[in-house]
Amino acid sequence: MKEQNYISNLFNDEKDFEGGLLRSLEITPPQNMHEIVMNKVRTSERRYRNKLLFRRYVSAAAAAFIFAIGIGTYFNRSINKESEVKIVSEINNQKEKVNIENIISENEKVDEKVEVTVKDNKTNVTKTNRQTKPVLKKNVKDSNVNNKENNAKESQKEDVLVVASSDKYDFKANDNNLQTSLKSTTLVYNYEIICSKENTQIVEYLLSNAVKVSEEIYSINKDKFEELKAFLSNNGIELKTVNEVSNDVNEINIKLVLK
Amino acid sequence: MEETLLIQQCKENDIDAFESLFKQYENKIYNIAYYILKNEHDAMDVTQEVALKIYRSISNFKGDSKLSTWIYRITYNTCLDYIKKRKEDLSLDEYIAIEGETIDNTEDTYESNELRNIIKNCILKLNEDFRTIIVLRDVHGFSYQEIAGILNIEVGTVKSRLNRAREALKKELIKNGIVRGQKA
Repeated sequence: MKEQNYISNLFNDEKDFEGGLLRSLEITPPQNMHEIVMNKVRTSERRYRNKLLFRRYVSAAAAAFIFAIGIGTYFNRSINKESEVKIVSEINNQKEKVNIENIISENEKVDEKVEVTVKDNKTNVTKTNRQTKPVLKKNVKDSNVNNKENNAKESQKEDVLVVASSDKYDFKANDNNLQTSLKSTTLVYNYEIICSKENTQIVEYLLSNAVKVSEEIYSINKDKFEELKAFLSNNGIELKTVNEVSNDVNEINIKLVLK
Repeated sequence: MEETLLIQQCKENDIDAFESLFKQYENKIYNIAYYILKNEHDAMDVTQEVALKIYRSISNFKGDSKLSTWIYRITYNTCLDYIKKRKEDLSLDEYIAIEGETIDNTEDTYESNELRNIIKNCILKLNEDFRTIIVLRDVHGFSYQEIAGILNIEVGTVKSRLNRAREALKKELIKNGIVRGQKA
């Protein structure tokens, strides 16, 4: 009996006796202890690995996210810059277009004035001295969109000489573009009716069948124009063609010249 | 040699190798925990905690001491931490149960089982230091050097503390009517 031996040694005041005499006092652990402990270790290990993986993935995802944001910001900036440049260039183009239109319309007005003057003195058409008229191109950068008058004035003063018409300018040979542009902006007539002031019939006819546009010019429907032609021929009134009328035009302008 | 191989495998997170290794030590771990904590339930908890600590930190084991010494030192420290956490030396219920254990005084000579129970109860009544050193030396049979390694104290301290612990145990035994293995 080791326990008895142990107690004997203890009561005999033995100080250095062998160890392990009370080995029988070892208690038996619960039967399922090993399984419980190992389950806990395995579960803990799984959680620990998941945590590690999670941390790795999270850090990788965070890095990828930051990288994506960086790239996105970079592209966004570059796109903004591009769009700014585009907008600026579009604005410049628009300004340029507006300025060119202004210049053209200004020049057309000048042309029209010249043309009207010439037509009033149509007998001298070939002899009319037409001043060389500079058509100026406005410098786009310096132009002001909102101030058309200033632009026109400035355009006369500065920049490059683009086109100049000669003295030999012939209205009959006037190109279609010029005609259409003139039609759109000024009163252009296609025919002239020349008769004496005493003939009031023609005036009454025009007032009843046509629309008086200005003091001398009347606008008449294409269909009624044919009736007018017949009326004029019946009354022996001269109808002079000034400009050919295109087929797509419904309204015809007629100038009444009373002598 | 086999243990060295198991340690190496454990360091590579081989959980089966760990299971084999732990199986060799789990009984003693549980016993030490039981005698320090004086509670089977707490001993079980501490055994699980020790297992986890060993598994996670075995890669730090450099072989400066024996593996058993390293494992039991972890066990001892875990028990101390457990006690600190619990903030009481032992659960009241368990203490009452120990106190309540009756000894059959009708027999002149105690049977070995009864004597074992008396000694066990007397050990459990000792203070923590004495209890631990008696368990390590007299129950588990560790050498002085091993005990010094486990408790992280000098061998001389082990011897003197063991003598004082035995003296205390003797007094406890006398209190319980034991004189040279017989009821006085």
